Amino acid sequence: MKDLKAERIQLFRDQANFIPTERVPHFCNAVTWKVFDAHRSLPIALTNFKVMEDVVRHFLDNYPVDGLMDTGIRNQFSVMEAFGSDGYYYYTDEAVGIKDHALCTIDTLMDYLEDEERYTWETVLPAKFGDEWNEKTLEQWKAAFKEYLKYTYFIIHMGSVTGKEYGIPSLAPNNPAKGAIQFGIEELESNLLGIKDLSVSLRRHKDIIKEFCDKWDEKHIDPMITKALESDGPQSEKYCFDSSMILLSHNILNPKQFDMFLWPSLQRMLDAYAEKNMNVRIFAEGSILRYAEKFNRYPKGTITMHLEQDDPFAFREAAPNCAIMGGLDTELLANGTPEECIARTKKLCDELGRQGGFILSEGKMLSYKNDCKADNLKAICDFVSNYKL
Amino acid sequence: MNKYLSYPEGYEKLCHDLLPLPLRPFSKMLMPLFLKIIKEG
Repeated sequence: MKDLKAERIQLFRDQANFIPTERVPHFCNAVTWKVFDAHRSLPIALTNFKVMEDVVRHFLDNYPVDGLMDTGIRNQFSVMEAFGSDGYYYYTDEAVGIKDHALCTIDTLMDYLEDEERYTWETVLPAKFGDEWNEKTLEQWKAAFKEYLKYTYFIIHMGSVTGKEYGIPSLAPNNPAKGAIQFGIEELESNLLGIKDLSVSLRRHKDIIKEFCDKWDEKHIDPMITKALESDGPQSEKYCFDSSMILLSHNILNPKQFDMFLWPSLQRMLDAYAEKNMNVRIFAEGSILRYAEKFNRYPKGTITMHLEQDDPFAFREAAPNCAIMGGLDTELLANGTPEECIARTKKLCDELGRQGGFILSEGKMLSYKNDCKADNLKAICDFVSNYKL
Repeated sequence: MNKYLSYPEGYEKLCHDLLPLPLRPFSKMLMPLFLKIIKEG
């Protein structure tokens, strides 16, 4: 399995660097769809690590993918349940969801930034849990912490299972435990203000948002830029990419706002990766096509853009220097035939992958039961693992 | 009054009471992620 893992890393690296390969690698973006495919219940799989491990094994036994975005580790529900409270994330029999939430108000953003731990302890948590907060006992804290340790162990365990038993390589070195890359404007959207309040504040409180983003990025992004610049460069033996980040805020920013709030820090980060010949995978949620030319300024081998909703052929035309990850949409996976899925995969491999610069993947995370037909994914896996370029 | 509510005293007391002895040296690594899950989860 060690050789298979090394071979797969090399395939991802070569395609990311526009070096032609014998075949196109497939980094599968299957998340909770795996649970339904294994005929398990979502509420049970999300709260029972053994069941989730069986789900991941079932998937990898049936679908010979080269990489897997989620190794069953998106289940922190047992922590909150042991704590005895509802959180922002929730699940039903059909799906996992998150409630739009705001940990701050526009007036308190700078207080948060001043001392995040203090603000969390004194303001965020009391507001989140209401009267329950005063009544939390040491036993509840211990129960939650025990589940957190079990969750941490599960992450490590699944990395070992997928790597050592299935030859699945790790995506990138950075993760929540080692320092996720989160730009200020992204943190505002996902946690501190939420989509609704941020959208309003972008118009009414532009200066505060700008000040916050600059200070947040100075505190959280600058150290990561320094770390990249002081590193030895690509970690080609261990990871498919040298870094991975998720962008969402571009969907609610107009071009002027994009230039003001996101691009300055993102550009400095990308400059650092380019300088060190490192490759970053960017998962662009929604559509990022209108900003393609900005990313095309970087040399080939710097950026691999994982497209969620954009047409990969249009993106290649707009940004020929960016490698593309994606190409498979859930409309086809859910409603097409195996033959149609193979035809689409062949077209992607032939037109985007022959000269390098393409990694097959699902654009949207496969989450719901009807996001994909099993026969379609099997046909794609069989085809792409055998199709020689 | 819940003895853990104040900051930093209450929070530090919780860290001390929560972590078993062998894990206490790793408090600065384990607690921020735990707190993040409680905060954002």
